[in-house]
Amino acid sequence: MVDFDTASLEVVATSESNWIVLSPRRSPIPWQELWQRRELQAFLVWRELKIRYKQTAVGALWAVFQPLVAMAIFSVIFGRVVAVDTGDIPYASFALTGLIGWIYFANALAQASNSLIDNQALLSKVYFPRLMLPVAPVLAGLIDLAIGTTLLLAVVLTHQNPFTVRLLVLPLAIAMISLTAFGVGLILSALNVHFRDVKYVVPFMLQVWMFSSPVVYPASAIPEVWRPIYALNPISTAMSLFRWSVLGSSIPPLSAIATSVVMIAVVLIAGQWVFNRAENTFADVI
Amino acid sequence: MSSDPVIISHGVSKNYWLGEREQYRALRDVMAGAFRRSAGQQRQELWALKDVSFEVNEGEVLGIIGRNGAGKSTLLKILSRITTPSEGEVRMRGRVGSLLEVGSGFHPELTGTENVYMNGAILGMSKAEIKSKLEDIVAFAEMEKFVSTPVKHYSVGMFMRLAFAVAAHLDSEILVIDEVLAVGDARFQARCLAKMGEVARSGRSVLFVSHNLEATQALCDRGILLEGGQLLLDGPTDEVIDRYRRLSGVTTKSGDAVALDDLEREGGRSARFVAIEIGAGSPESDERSAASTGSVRTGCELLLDITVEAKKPIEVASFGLTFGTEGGLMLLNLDWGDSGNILKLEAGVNRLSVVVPHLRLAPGRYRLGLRLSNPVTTRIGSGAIDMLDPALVLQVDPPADSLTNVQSASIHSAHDCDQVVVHQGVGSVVEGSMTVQLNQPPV
Repeated sequence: MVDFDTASLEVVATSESNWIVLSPRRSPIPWQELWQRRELQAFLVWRELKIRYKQTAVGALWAVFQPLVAMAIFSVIFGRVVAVDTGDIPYASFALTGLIGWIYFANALAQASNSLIDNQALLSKVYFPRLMLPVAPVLAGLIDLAIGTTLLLAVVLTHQNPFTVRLLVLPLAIAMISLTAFGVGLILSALNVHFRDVKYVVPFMLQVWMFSSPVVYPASAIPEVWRPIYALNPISTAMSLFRWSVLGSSIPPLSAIATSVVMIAVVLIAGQWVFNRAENTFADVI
Repeated sequence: MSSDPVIISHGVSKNYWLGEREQYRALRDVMAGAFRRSAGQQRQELWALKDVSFEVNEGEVLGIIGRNGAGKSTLLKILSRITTPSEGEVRMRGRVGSLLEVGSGFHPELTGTENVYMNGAILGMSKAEIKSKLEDIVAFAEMEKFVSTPVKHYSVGMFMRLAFAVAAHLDSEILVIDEVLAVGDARFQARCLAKMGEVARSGRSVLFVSHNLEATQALCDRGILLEGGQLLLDGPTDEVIDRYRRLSGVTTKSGDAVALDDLEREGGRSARFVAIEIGAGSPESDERSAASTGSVRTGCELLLDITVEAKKPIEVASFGLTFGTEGGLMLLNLDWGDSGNILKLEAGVNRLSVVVPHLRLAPGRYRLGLRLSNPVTTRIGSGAIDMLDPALVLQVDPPADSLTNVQSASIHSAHDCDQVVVHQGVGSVVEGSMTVQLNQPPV
């Protein structure tokens, strides 16, 4: 044991990069490892997709029914009873646009939040970069989103041509939604390991969040003075952009886009910070 | 020591907080906890590992031995990167594969093949690697017919076989193996252990954790003994195993007398077992008997000297002996009363000499139970005058002429929950019966 230190120091000095060090210190995000094991990430996404609609009669058609049913409900309430003003866009198309984007966000966030506790067995038995768990549902949801968007374009085609240059902005809107879901999902998934309360809070949070975003009503319904605060919610800007790219309604101002992008960056940094701090103790606590 | 270590563990410690702290919490617990803590209540700290330092060299097979709760699992969890040490550090060189509780990555809705891919990827294999090994894996698990069925329809045995097969085909420079993974029926267990032996001899560095001392002895060059979270001994496997046996109070040698008076029991009012002495072999038995080494061996004679203290004379009593797995599964129940024999106990000290002529128990550890009962109701647990289960844990070694062969050691090494091997070995003991002789109280 006496010559232990010198021996190890010597070895470390010669080939530091090959040694994996396991210590109480927090390890930084393992970018290199995440990249090396991207196949595992792909498998996790694939598993999400594979089991999502297992043993359902209509399978992936749920990706279509979910927004359609919601659209029908909101069309009755906001289209007829309350009569929200959506300009010359039919309310059904208007709502469906918002709902396609929103349902992706809500599912991705809820599943990312539960991703760690749903994979307890895995977390406590095998090592792999933990970050991959919350990433999987966010990526897997993109497939549902693609199916939903196809449906949306078909519906919009009944009254106008959605295939314009504006459609090129759609990926940006989707990226904003994904990253927000991922960032918030990181925080909630890590908290969920310690506090199972998160599981019960998320549905309420999503409900409040939905009505704080222009999903079933236009952003123009928000008074001008509140708009800067409204833009702090990245989903509000993302939704408006999403709708603009498909339907050509009003585009959010550049200041709102900038505010939301900054907010997304803040959420991502906070998310990885919280996740990283909690990561070492996941297996002990879960 | 060679100068080429692949694992260097330096002062590794791991503590857990007992109580609600380390379990998941609801917010209200935290709030309640904040008050309690400010009220000065101490949380209890448990050191699952304390200052454990060792090295593993390239190509070395290290056995990790210790009783339940000694810290083996915690050490494995740290080495396989599932959790981090609280203090100290481990340095490792090369890819680490761990075969701990296989099948954790299996999803019930996915088919066998899909799960093989998924699980392989989780364990660190690339898609191409899994693809090239898929046939071997399926063949090893003998699951050719079922690979396209969702695993939720599998039996537990099928599930475990497939899971083990995936893990066993993992190529990594360092492999952490938990022997608990020997799964399935006796034949498959033997193959699991043979596979582990193959891996251990393939020149990779292996950490092998097992209660199975035979397998450990056969596979490992060196061993470390953990006790109470501390490293007690680091040395040649034989030495470590010997120390472990003494530590865990396993009775193997003849002449070991064990006091039974303080053990938890059922009954024990009018008469009670107070001591037992194990003897192996006898002057009459042939040279296969291990009287010289004093071990209790498969196929040899087992002698028990039992002291019973009776408060009052008991006219009619029957004596029974049970063997069970360490896990508590009853394997064999011998009752002297079954053949109409009756014991007559005097008040005071009585001595029983029990002879089991051919101990047909596969090598391993067994719990030995003793029973004095009313012969009319000899069913276990009823009419007991005194009953001890376990009275002691008996270590049965392989017959002297078949030692140290890995293959045979592996096959015989089934323990916990494996009925098949032991039944095979046991069947004829019932016929072989035992003889009990009552020695009248000395003085």
